[in-house]
Amino acid sequence: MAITVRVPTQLRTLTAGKEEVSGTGSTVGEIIDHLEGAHPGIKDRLLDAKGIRRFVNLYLNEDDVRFLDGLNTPVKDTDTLTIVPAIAGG
Amino acid sequence: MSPIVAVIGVGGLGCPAALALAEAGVALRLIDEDSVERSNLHRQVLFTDADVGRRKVEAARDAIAKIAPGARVETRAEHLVPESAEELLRGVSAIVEGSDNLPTKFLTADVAAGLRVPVVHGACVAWHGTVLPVSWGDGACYRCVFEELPDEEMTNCAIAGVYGPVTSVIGALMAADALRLLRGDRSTAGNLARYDGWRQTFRSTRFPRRQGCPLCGER
Repeated sequence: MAITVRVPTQLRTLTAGKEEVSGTGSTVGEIIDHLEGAHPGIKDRLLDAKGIRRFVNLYLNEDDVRFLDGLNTPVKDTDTLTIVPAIAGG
Repeated sequence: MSPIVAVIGVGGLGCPAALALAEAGVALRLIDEDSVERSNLHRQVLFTDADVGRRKVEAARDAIAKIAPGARVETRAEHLVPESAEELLRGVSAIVEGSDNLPTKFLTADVAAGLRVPVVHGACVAWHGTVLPVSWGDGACYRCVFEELPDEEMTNCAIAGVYGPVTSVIGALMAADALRLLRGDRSTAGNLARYDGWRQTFRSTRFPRRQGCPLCGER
């Protein structure tokens, strides 16, 4: 299934400037794997060897996936995955 | 004695936050080493063209004095660095942190934890902004949510740009959270609020304290 992925400003150089892209898979981890195929380099910005990078938060709709089932969190077609990294500026 | 709030970074966030707090009768300690640049003026609402080249803390102090006569404003024209951060922040009742770089955000969190002073973190890039109020012992702190400093360069507003209305919204929210914390209301502590000024959406997610957090763990 395909869901909407919202990409923060910091990562849009990897998505040709697109704020929203489509991701395919049945879990958050599979969505990220699919994103990597379509937008090479994005997976490394989100994950490290231990899982989700410490300064990045992934929200499935309104919920941080770290409070769900992490990368194994199941997704459905109507879901939106939002990437929220630490930002600075003002 | 009125409470005193430290404002770290007198920029797009610090200007509206400082003004709102001063108007509410809160004394301020403004901390920023930078001088006003013309490129700041579209979002740093306390400054005018005549202020270009002046220290931000001094220009902000003078602007606040005109708008809120009698407001108590201290100025510290220096960056927050590990060697002096604790001295700069000692004695304040709360901290409003709107700095433009991640190392200062993490340093503020670390020092505030040691002093047990509540802190409101704010940030903006392009059309997006976030606010995280922290009250030690109630909900998450900055290192609970963003555990450690990224080892790569992250985009900031100097690269991606930032829109003036968004910084004013986030700065006002920071001031509101600071006032709530000063009143002892911790109901929003640990809530990461995210504002998207382009889509006109506002979301808030409550984070619990993270087990093993170096700041929130056993002391």
